[in-house]
Parts: sequence; structure tokens; C-alpha cells
Amino acid sequence: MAGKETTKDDLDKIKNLEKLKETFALVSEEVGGIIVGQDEVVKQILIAILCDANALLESYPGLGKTTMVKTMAETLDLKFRRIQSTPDLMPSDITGTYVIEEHDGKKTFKFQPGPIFANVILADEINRATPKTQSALLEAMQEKQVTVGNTTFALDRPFFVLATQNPIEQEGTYPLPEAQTDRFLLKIKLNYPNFDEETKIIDRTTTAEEAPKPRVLLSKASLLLLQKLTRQVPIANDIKKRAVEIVQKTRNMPNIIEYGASPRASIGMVMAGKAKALIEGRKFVSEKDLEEMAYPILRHRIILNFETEREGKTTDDVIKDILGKK
Amino acid sequence: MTSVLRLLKELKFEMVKVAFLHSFLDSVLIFFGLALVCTLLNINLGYLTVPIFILFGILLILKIRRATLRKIERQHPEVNEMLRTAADTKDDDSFMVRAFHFDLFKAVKRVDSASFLNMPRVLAKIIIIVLFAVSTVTLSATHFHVLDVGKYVNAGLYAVSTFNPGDIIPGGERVQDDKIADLGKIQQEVSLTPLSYELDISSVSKPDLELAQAEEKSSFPVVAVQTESYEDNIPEDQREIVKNYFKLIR
Repeated sequence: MAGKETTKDDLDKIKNLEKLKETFALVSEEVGGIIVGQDEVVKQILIAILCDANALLESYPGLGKTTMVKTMAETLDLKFRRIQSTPDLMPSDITGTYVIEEHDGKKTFKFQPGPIFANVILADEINRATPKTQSALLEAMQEKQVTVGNTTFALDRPFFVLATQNPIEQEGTYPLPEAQTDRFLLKIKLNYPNFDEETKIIDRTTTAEEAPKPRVLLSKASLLLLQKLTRQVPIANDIKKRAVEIVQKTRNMPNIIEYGASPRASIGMVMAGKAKALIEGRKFVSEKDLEEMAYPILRHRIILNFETEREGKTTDDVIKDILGKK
Repeated sequence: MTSVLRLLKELKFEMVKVAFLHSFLDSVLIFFGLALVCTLLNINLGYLTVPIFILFGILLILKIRRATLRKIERQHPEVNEMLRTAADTKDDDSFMVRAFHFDLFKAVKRVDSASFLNMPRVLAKIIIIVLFAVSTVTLSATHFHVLDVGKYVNAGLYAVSTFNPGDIIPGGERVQDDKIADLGKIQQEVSLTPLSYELDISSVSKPDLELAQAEEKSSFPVVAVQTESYEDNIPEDQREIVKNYFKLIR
């Protein structure tokens, strides 16, 4: 009921919560020690993890996606697996399959888990996999379980898929259908490093010294608790309404947008706003959180019409207009 | 939620404190501004007292009315969103909501009176007040005025006054009975006794103007009369003997 006073136990927990901002800053720092200049991307990946959701990463090759995600998994004490998508990748290559095992002359089927049985999955170039394989992965993402034969296996929690798409070389690819991309909470854009950052990357990678092993900063159990706490972050009604207003606007702009965002986007905006607030050490959602998260949440959920594309406008430009930014 | 409501009341009180300070400064500023004008026109400053107190009251009421929580929200955007969130989640109870309330209290504690004060504006007001005050004191000390409006004001006040004898009118003058001015023309009988050397005013009678005028007329011309000397008391035939005796002993 309302007005429950803060207890001493609460105060201790709150004090621990105060340290969260520092912890996330340390995670970012730890990843930054290996990958140069991708702080914003690290933050968005953390947001997706706290929301117990998945993210789509659009980047050019050679930007250190794998190293970055692997380092993050290590700092968060999570099991990491990478799946390189190719047109001949089969669903069983991801989920795992039954193999015949012989014990004392007796042959039995034993389930051999695939790379999906991990906490953090990097599905590299997901658009190169066939729709059948994509579906298998997306089902695992959504249900947090895989079914092989007649048996359903629950996936270990937390479970996070980071799928990457290459914006170039579209030939021979199977672009994710809109219904599939909608399942990703965020579409994160990884840009090229600037001059200084690239110089730093060269310095780090061309010396004899090996990169230090990242420290474990958060346990799996803490992460699960934080996922729970993220949902509890309070949000004002007018900020919730602002999220719905932004998403509904994408559906009411037929002269610019062909298909607008689904209600999943509204849910995503609120959830991402909560996670962002928690990472930044706040215990309430600000309107600024929504506006910042609108870009990664909406950019893969809206389809611009031909006229708008012809004008050279990008989805980010349209989102900027929706938010009323100059 | 009572604790949150209590918090809002505290915030409102901070706003009232600021409203009081601004009203006070504005009133003092207007008072000294008008005081300077009054000094230049030689008008008594006493006329300003009551209107300034009334002005202070009006300013205070207006500023308190305008001191809404919206003002706090405008000046502290973070507290603004926190207050809105607190209002909307007042019925929720979870660990995060309690942690949020804890943060809200801390944030509101930082919102003290000083944060509402526009310090450059307050300083400017104080400087202007000091300048007005110094100018007023200097002009008063040198009795400088551009126009002696006070003279006309006092004359006007006399004309329409309903003052009674003995009242002090603005300007410090005392209203008296006309007849008192004639007292100086009358000779008074005053008796002094060794036991009571105080003036016995009980014996002072009302002025008799006719008598005074008659005495004034009858006292002229003045005749000088020589008083008796010591020699007048010695018989005439012995006077020469006494004179010689004194010459001898000298």
C-alpha cells in the first residue's frame, strides 16, 4: 500500500543500488579498455540486457563487434557463444541435435546442445542465414527455450542475442522480415571510429602486449536481480503517454512512413527508458530517456515510403522530426 | 504518501520565504526611491510610511500566490520529473519506488531557498537601495531641494485641517490657540517664596487684552527718579562733621 516507510533493510539495499552507476561505468570502462570509442554502443547493449531483450547491431565488418560482446559477457560473468550465419547453416547447428552414443554396447540418443545454450549469443550476419534458421534463432529469442524433436529445453537465464547485419553486400542475403526485426528491442548502429580512436586501436593491437583479461564486475545472479528491478523503476503517467504518442505518430504519417511501429515499440520505449535510468543511477524515467531511446527502438520498426527515401531521408531523420527536434 | 505531501509542504514554505525576501526588498527599494524624490521636493517622509507597509502586504500576497510548485519544477527539471513520478506512483509499493522516494527526499533537500534566489537581481536591488539611501541622507544633510513642495503641502493641510490646539501636524509644528500669542503683551504677577521657588502658575489669569493695551499706552513718557542715598539719612548740620571724620580715618 502507499506510504510504506523505508526500512533499515531497504536503506542498505538502496546504498548498494547507489553503487550501480559506478558498476555500469566500470563495465563500460572495462570494455573501453579493449574496444576503443564505443561507449554508447556498450550502454545500449547493457540496456537490452537489463530489459531481458535482444538487440540488432548494424555495423560494417572489422569494427570489433565480437571482441566487444565477448568482453561484455566476461565482465558480466556470462557464457558467450558466437554463431557465424551462412546460407548453409541449419537450425540444428544452432539449437543442437541428438547424437547416437554407445555405452556398453548399447546405443542411445543423447542431446548435444548447440551454441544457443549460452547466456550471450552473437549471431553474426544473421541476414546470411536462411529464413528457416533465422526462425529457429528468433523462436529461441522470444520463448527463451528451444524444442528439438519432442523435447523442449529451457535456455539458461539471462539470455541475450546480439544479431549483426552488414549494411553492405546485400547480394545473397535473406533480409529479416519486419515481423522478425520487431522482436529485437534495439537496433544499434556501430559507426567507424574517428581518427584519434583509430590511432589508439592501432597502438593497442600492434604492440607485443596482450590485452588484459577483463574483470568480472557483476554476477549472473545480480544481473537477474537487476532485470527484475528494471521493471520496478517508477515512471510518470505523462512520460508513458509521451512514449505512446511518439509511437502512434509513426502510424499517422502516411505521406512519410509506409508502416509505423507496433505496440511492442511503446513497451520497448518504456522498458528501455527504465533500464537507461537505472544505468545512469536514477530511479525514475525522464522524458530525455525516452527521446534518446526512440532512435534505437524505432529505426528498425518504421518503413519509409518511396517519396521519403527518394528525398534522401533516413529513419533517424524522420524520428528526429517526430520528436520535434531541430 | 503522507511523507511526500509533507515534502511538498516544505517546498512551498521555501517558496514563501523567498517571496517574503523579494517583497521586502522591493518595498524597501520603492521606499528609498520615493524618499529621494520627497527629499528633493522637501516633502515629509512620514507620508510614505503607511503606503509602503500596504505595498509590502500586497506584494507579499501576490508573490506567495505566484509561488507555485510549477516554479520549482521549471527551475529544477529533475525535481519536476521526480515530483510528477511521485504523484503518479503514490499507490505503488516496491523496493524501487521506496528507493525513488528516498532519492526524491535527497533531491528536495538540495532545493533550498537560495536556489530560487536570482542572486544578481537581489544584489542589484541591494545596491540600488544603498545608493538611494546614501543620496537621501546626503541631500537631507545639505538641505538641498529642487522645489519646496512641502511648504505648499503644509499650507494646504492647514487650510483643510481639523486639527485641535495642542496637536502636532506633519512637519513638527504644534497647533495653538490664537490667544496664546498675545500672552507676551501682558504683565504677569509672579510671587516667589523661599520655600517654593517654583513658578506658581495657578495664579496666572487669563489674558486681559483691554487692560494690556491700556497699560501699554499709560506707561509713556517714562520719568527717571533718583532713589534715596546714604547721606539723606544724616542731619544736615552734622554732614560736614561726618565727612571730615571719614577723610581723617582714610
